[in-house]
Amino acid sequence: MSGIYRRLTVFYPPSVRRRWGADMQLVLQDLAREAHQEGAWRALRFWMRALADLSLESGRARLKQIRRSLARGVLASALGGRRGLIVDLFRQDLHFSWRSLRRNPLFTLTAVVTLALGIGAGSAIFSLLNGVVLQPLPYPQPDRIVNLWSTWRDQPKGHLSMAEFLDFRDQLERLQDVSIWSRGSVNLTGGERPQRVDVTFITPSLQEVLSMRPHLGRLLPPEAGRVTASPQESAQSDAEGQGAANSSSLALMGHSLWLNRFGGDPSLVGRTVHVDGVEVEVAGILRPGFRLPDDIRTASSTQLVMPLSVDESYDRSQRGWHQYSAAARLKPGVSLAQADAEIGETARRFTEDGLYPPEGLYGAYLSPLKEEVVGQSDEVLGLLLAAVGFLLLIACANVAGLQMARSDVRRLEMDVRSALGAGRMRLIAQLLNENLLLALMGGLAGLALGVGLVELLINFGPQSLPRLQDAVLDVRVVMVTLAVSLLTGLVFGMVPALHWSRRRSLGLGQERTSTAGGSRQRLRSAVVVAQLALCVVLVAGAGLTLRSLGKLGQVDPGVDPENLLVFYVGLPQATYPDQQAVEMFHRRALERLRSLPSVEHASSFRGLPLTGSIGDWDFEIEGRPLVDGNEPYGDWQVVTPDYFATMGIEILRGRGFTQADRRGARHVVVINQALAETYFPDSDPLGQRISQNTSGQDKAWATIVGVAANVRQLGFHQPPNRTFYRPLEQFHEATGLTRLGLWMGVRGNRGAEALMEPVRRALGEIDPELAFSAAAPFQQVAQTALSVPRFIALLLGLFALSALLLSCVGIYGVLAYSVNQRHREIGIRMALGADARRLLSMVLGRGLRLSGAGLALGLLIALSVGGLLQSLLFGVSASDPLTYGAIIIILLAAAAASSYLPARRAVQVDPMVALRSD
Amino acid sequence: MEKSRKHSRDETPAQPVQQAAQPPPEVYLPMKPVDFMVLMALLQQPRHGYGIVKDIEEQSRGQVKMMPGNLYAILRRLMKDGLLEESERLPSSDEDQRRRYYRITDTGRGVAAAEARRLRHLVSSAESAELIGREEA
Repeated sequence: MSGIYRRLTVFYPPSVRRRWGADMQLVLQDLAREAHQEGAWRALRFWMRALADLSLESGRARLKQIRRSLARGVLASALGGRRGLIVDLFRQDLHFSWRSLRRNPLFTLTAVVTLALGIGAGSAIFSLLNGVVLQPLPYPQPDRIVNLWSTWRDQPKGHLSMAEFLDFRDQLERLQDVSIWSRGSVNLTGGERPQRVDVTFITPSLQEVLSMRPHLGRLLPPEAGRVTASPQESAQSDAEGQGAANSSSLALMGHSLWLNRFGGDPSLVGRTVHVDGVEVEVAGILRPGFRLPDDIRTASSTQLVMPLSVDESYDRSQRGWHQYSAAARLKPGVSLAQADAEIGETARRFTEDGLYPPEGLYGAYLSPLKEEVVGQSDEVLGLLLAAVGFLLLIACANVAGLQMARSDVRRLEMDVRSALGAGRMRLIAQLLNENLLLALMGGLAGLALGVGLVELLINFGPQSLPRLQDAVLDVRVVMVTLAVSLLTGLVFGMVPALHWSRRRSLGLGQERTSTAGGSRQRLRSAVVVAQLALCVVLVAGAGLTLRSLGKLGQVDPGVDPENLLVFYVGLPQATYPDQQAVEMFHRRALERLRSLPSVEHASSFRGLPLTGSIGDWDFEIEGRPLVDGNEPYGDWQVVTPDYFATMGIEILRGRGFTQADRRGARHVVVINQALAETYFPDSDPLGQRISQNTSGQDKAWATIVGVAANVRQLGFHQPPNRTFYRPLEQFHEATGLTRLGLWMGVRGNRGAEALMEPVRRALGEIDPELAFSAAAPFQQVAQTALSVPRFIALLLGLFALSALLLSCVGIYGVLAYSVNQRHREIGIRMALGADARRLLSMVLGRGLRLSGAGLALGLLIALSVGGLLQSLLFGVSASDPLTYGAIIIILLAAAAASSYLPARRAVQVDPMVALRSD
Repeated sequence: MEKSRKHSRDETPAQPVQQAAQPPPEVYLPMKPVDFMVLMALLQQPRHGYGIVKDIEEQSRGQVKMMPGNLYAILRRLMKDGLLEESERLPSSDEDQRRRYYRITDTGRGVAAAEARRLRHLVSSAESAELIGREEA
């Protein structure tokens, strides 16, 4: 490494290098030794920094030198001196390059646009990658923050339960500030109309983990949220968190909520607001732009933070209710692996102590916070980056091809300049100069394109991509882009330059009229073949993702999305203190909604399909002994009677729920097809009974009365989960839990948007204080679930199209050039009576041979790397024959089209003109 | 056409700094924080490049980690301004003999002191505005 560094110091002006080089090298060695002692990662970072520092500083020193020389040069030439000669030559070259590029506007434009396309797309995607994946999270020392996860049979990644949190907090010695939080939403009332706001209930230690600082006021005190409640009560708040009632009355308010609802009034701090009907004191205002990890992941902003109630006397034998996200900081000097080993060991001890059945395979592990926040997007963006990398390569190949063609055309000019006394280095410098200028122009144009593209991607990209809004074309991106464009210029400028100078050393003008141009032609053909091969890979990727998107679009979510409006209603516990009150609200609200002329069906339900996990619940089937750790389980959906008609879910056997399935009646349950197939493969499920109470005595058996069609709960790309449905009232009765938050769905006889206002008014009549949130036509919910695959397919499609266009230009270029080269030969052939058709097929054949080679090579590469794409594909194999068949046809057609123009030109050659031309 | 000459590149001979022509220290103010830190590093004793880097790291409690390119750009500039010079101190026998030591000039000392006074004034303004308490300064 030091050797490379030493060699890289040549970028410094010689005077600086001579005077300071050795000394710098010594300091570098000392620092490097230190960095290497701190581990490989530190060392890598050190060398990255050292190289960046070197390039920046040497560039500065050079610039300074040039500026000085220019100042002297101008002065010197005014005085007739010779010191400014080199500077003059440099300026002359620059001026000359500019003139020569301007003389060939078509060439210049093609090259600049080609480069701009590659660089623009590249910098835009790199910006996304930079904003979404590479940028550190906005907390101090973010790589020391970890998430804690539970894992058990069939559940590779689960949240923590209260008991697990308490145990981990008390027992883990390699973590500090072990914290949990859960999210929910509450009604903010008082003042203007009620507002539904997202709230995160945290243990105050999370403020330490994230190093939160208030904008105004103070943070939550460490003791906030500590309560003494019965386990029953604390178990009652479930994943959607009905928290205000069970947390102490303090809150931190997000900066934007404070600005928007309270006009940024600083006196709000210390005053109370009404949260779900309960008075809560605003302890402080969060800093502008502060976001909790979940907010970054879901691209929302933190509105309210309240203490999570933690009951120190919690009965730790209650291990269920895995509902809390958890995070902590690694203690100083502790590595992730060490802490992970500790938590794994602790979790194993839980099973040894009999807290979990051994068959449950309970475990726990840590993952870096960033992994959780950024999720799969690095895979998606990595794929896109690879795609733009290909595009950039194709663009570079095109420019190289253009350059090679041009250098041949210009050999007369070079010969003349050389004959007039220009040295070899001078001519090479001239060519390089031109290329650099070209690359810089391409780079600048590409940067402009990139800025536009980033803007476009942010506005039209999927909102489910975390931190998308953070993507900006920053300095790093600009540097990388410029470096790439300069490198392109150097590399591909060198090829023709060296080429020319080698030819010259063979002797001047010897091959002026040669027809073959042998090696040069072969080189260009190779470039075109490589370019086509890359293009095939890109088109294949785009084709596969498009096919996959098509397949996803055909997936039946199990819900009829037409004319269906959904929204979320969270009832404040203060006004709806018990199960009966909640049930009464839903009965009245649904009746009122159904009475609207445009509404056909309305119902309430727990989890919205297509949007993610709703959690599962173990159950017992009557007559089958429970195997500890291997209980049957399914997603638990709680619904009101009209649910299946409202959502358009087909009942395959038996019946759905009716108004008669209420409190006090015989308990019933509807299961979905997947659950029926798993647990009743050979018997009729109808009439059998299950119980959600697997441990206690009071079984409250529910009879299976129907089998419903499967619904995709997790999204289009995930198979349907096993699910069972319980009527709300009977669920309340059987479990003793209260569902305060429920989704509501309304199916109308016209568009879902048209339902919005009548529904809002009707609900206002039932409870004017109520706020409902996330109202959207279900169509939109379905669209959102497809947004990431659509984004990938769209971008890859665009890249593939650009690649195809560029490759066509490439084929055209190489054929047009060869026709030009063989002008004389063609003329002679024609004079000797060759017919037009044969000439046409000669040129076309050459084009198709080149494309054939590129196609074959590309297919080979695409098929061998296609597996990398598989995880992002749905319902399509990475070697899908249909896609590849289509690619072959498209590419051959494109190749034929781009070969045709040069072929026709060959046919139109006038033998007399051709023979006289040289 | 004129033939180019080999030695047309400009060479700056190392000229001794003329103390008498030094402008007053205030001309150099305000200093860049790193420049100031480099001068501070040399107040007590002459140091070599690595020594300066380590001292600055300590001064800044690990926040400023300089790289050779940046360091020597600063050293070059400060030497040109006459605030630093190469020290006659020779590397000890167990050190690389190419190592050079740098020391602060009297002008440099004056400029550093002026900068420190400027900073003190700034801090005391912050204190009187009650941005920070006096004991924190």
